[in-house]
Amino acid sequence: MQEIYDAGIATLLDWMRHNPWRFATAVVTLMVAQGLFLGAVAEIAFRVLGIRYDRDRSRS
Amino acid sequence: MQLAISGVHVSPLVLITIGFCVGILGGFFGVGGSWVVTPALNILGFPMAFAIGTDLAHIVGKSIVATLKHYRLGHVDLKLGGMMMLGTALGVQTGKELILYLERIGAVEGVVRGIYVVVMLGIGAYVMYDYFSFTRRARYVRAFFGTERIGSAFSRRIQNLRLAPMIRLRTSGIEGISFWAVLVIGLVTGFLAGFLGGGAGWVRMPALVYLVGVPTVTAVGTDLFEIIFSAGIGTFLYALEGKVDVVAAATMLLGAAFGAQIGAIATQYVKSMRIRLYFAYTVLGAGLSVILKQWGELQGSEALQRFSGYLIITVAVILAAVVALGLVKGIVEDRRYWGMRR
Repeated sequence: MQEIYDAGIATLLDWMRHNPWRFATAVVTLMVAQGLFLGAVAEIAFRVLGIRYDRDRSRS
Repeated sequence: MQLAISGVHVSPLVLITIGFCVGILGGFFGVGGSWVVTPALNILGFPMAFAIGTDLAHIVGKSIVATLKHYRLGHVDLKLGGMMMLGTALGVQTGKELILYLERIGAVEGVVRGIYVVVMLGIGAYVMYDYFSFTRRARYVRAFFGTERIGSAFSRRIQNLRLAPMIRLRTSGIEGISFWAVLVIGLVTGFLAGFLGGGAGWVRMPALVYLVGVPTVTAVGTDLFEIIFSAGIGTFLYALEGKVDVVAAATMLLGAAFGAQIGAIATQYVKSMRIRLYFAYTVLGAGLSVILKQWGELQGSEALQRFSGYLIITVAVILAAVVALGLVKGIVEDRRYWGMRR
């Protein structure tokens, strides 16, 4: 796991120094992918916890 | 944790906690929260450019999470967001040009901070006035308005402007508004975003409520939708300069993703007018923090400048806790209500 992380960071640093466009694209893509992934995980977690959010707002 | 890109040493738990608290506020108010995260990262040792770039990167992921949740709740007006984005793009560019001009004449710091304070305190004071003028009304008047006073005298005037093409915003419940009015509002909020920095969600959210006449929760969702693009462009530009610590941003996003969900769901449980009141507190707290920072700089006091950073972090943590408690209270009341009906 540590090796994969180190290799990933080394690649990003290399892109940052020598290919900024690739680095910038990778950063934005990573953030979008992580956002989508964590959103799905959190969604499942809330369903497991039984938190309703499709309630009628007029009660609030 | 030693961050290879920025060279900063920081605890991942601190980053996750900051992300979580600001995530709650982001999902609840429809803001990116750069006015909290940037000073917090700066206090943790990130150089200012890295603090801004890293903050923008985590905002991209957080806004996606929060927008998806708000979209499922029916709070995102894609048509309105798309049209405002046109104006925002033009406005941001104009704001940046003005910043560059002020930089050339050496007046950028004072002018930006001065306008920042005036806009923040102005918005905070107006939202608070609106809240208290609504809650002071007699119960039967409030019953007529419902749980929220949608729109304002400004928004009614803007909606009455008959300048073709007129558009209908079904999600926002607006029967007709001039395309040009929406474009100009996008232009003005975009100008402030470009001029004051960050995504300026704290300007766009009240602008959607008080100028366009959108219900609070729809303003929150639509604003978040726009922030994905504005923060995305900002992240890309900062990353081109190598000023984004992607590991720090990804760590913050771990907390922010869950916080944003909590914030978004809380909008279902907390009254719309109360959302506006909490928003006013946050903006006023941020305004006060900027005043203290400016004062500290004038006095040459490092302690006062650090205190201004701690102040805004404290305000953010307290309000995040209030929102989370509001959600828990709402869930408990809901369960009791449905338990009684069974």
